[in-house]
Amino acid sequence: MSLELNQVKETVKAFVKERFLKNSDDKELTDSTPLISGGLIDSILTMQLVVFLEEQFKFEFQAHEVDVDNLDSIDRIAAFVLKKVNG
Amino acid sequence: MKIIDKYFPLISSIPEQQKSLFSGTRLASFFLAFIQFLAILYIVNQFQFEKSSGIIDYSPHIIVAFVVYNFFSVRYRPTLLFVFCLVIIYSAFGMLAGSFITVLGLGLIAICHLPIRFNFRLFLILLGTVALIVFRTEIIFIPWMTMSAMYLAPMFMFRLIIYLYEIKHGLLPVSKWQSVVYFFMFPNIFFLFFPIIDYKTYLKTYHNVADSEVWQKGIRWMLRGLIHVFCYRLLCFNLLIEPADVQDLTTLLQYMLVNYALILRISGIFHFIIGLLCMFGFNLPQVFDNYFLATGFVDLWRRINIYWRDFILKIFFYPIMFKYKKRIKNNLLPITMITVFVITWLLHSYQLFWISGVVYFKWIDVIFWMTIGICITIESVIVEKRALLGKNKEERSIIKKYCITIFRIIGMLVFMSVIWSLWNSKTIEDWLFVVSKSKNVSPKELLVIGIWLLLVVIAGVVVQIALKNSMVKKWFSLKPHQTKGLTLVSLSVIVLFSFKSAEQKMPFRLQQIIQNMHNSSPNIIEKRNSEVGYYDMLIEGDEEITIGIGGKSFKTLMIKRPYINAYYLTNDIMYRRMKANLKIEGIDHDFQSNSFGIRDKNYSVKKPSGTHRIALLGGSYQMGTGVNNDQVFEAIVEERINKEGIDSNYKQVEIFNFAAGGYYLLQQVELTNTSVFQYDMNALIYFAHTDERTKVVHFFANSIKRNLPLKYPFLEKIKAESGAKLYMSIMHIRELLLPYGDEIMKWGYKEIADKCKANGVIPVWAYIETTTEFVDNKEYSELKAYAESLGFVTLDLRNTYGKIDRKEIQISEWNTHPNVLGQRIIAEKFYNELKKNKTLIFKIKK
Repeated sequence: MSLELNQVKETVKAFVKERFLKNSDDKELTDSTPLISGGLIDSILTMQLVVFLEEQFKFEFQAHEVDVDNLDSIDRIAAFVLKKVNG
Repeated sequence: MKIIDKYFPLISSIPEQQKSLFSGTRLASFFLAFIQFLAILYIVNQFQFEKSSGIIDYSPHIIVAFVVYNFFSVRYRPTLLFVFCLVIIYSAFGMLAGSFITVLGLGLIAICHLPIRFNFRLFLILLGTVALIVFRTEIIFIPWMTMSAMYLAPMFMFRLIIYLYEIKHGLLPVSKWQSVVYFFMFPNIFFLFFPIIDYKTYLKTYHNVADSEVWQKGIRWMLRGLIHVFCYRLLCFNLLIEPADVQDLTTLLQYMLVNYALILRISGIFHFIIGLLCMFGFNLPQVFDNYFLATGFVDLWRRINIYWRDFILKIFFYPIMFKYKKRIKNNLLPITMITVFVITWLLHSYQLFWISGVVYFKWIDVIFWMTIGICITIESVIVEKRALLGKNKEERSIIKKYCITIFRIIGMLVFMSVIWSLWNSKTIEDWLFVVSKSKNVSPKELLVIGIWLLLVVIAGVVVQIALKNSMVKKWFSLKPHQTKGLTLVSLSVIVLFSFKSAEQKMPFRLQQIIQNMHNSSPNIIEKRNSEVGYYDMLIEGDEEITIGIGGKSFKTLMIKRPYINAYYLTNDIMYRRMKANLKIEGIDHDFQSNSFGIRDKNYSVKKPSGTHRIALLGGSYQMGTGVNNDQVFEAIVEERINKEGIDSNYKQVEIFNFAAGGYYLLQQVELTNTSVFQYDMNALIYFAHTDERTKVVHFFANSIKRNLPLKYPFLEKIKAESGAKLYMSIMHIRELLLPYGDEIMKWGYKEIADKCKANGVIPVWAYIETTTEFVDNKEYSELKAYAESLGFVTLDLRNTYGKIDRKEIQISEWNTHPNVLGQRIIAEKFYNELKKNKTLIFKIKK
């Protein structure tokens, strides 16, 4: 499956807004907003994000790949997904 | 590739501007940071911050290293840091132990990179760990190796786990020096209880921002750490109460809340450590995030010891989730969370083992961690379900939202205070007994508590409204390098507090506060109760071993528990007796007992003619804890009497030192009745201390709790009358016995006096205060009058220490028994009192 960066970003952004920021006072989400290091999502919600990405983009995470380097912002998530999917 | 690039690679995270070391801007920033750092270390010195750690002793080394380090080329800085760490190691531990620590440490790192299968590397590391365990537990006791294991373990016990994890998943170090420095971090030599720094974070944040920024961050965090420790000291000396002082709901709340607030010491030390590392380019994230403001269990887990949380998530939580996510469809999260908290409990015991050398198992630890774990799990499941179902939060007014937040914060504070007090209790029964006092509550008390609650809620709402203000928000979002003025002012104020001349011009209450800030002594209440909680053990050690390289020679760092094998337990009122013919090498003194099983030189059973024999009964002070046999005041006085003479009736004097650590009146009675008079004594001296009644009652309570046969009908009668039962908590038993303290004292004194009379022995009563207490003249007068009424000759050793600073005559901060100087001072006073009363004491025996 050939994915484009913007496509991935839009999908992930929509999920994050809908699932994690629905009840947040601060609903502004940019591509570089720090999600984990900024305290917007914790370890439990991170796992929900992981499950979503795996189901949506049909790849599997390894445990050690769940960290801020790969999941801390929409930009990083998109880059990681493309790396996994496109090899 | 050039050799220099191979062995000293340029660390790529450093921004371009780092490379110009001598630019005007950088020099100006450095000068400011240098002055601030000097001020911090000055405050550390003046206020005796964590004195036993050694941070004060090595302050000059640290400041020199800071200067040199920051003007070295960046590629050599990790090497320099490693060299600096070695300087401290060798200077503190000497050539042998220093080399052992260095070689073993480097060996462990090298094993991680051996070109063999990962599992074999793991096996080799486990072998090394087993060897360290053998030395740490003193199974094989080689003093310097045991000590080395104690200081090596904190450097590797967690960081090695993270390092191996990263290597297993393909992260290779950019520079070997960075790997070495990851373990050989010099602040870890001072502070064995150390944050678990993540390896990836350590690499990413090393010189990743401008030096001026990270220096100011370091200064701010060290300052924050110092302020936390000052707050801890203020709480200790002004608000902390003993469990025995809890009488009602108000005092219970005070006891619990203040105890929990003492966590400020740990956060203070951790802030200081991270701040110190920042000064050397490590732009590490914060360790604690305003944990007192947690609004729930998950929020608390996010805020309290963030490094520990990240370690648990990386090494255990995510791997367990991933391993079982296909096999366990339902309840994966709660199962993982509970497993993770069991691991957290085990790792806390693991950490305590390496630092203290002892394996502890307490049900209280299990209850504490499982309670926290279950609460976090339940809230996590709720959070997860809410997110999955996409539930909308109910719309609330701003004020209602703020009130709910404050109530949640208060609720969490109270809950954590309760569970924290359990964790720091000796036994569950003791804790339940203290908690039972909450039923003593009057309507007035409830009203007062209600009013305080209301005030806190109002204040909390006002603060939250203020924090929403854009200017306030902006101010709080500023980084330390943007608020240098605030740092400078704060430092100046604290430096000012350190000047005696300035302190004397301040209002009296402020002077008291500053004096409390200066007071670095371990909490008096903690020492008296020996209720050393988990974190106290990690930071301070215990009475036999004080952790830290501060103020110690190399020899005193070597660990041996001299008294642990000096006694054997007895199933009677004595509880324990000293072994005979012992010779033990202690930490910095020797311990010997003679063939009679007392700490003294050998004497013949039959008294030589012309000899005056005195039996001396006492506790650890009279036994001479922490000094050699010949340095105990009894031995000094005996030698002096025999050299200078004291009475013409006798050619020589022999003083039998029957004193032993932990002996109180009831044991002295038993000794008098069973052991003392077989050696044909002429006189018997009983040593009393301050707060005599309470100590006797405590020992009696312990005897009941240990189910020891009480032997004496009087004691059985008191036990029955008081209603004390075996199943009760020790605190409850003490409370029931306290009203009988006077009666027990009088009975004990009469027993000794009567036995002396029956054997023609002169009873003598001596009173001396401990080095941590001051004379209670009322108690002294009462006890003296009673002793005299029974026929005791009384010796007054009050105010023996005069105006001398008590710290000068104590073994250490934690062990306040008289040191060599202290024993000499007591000897002088004791000799003078004996001389003053010689006609009474040295009478010829009929």
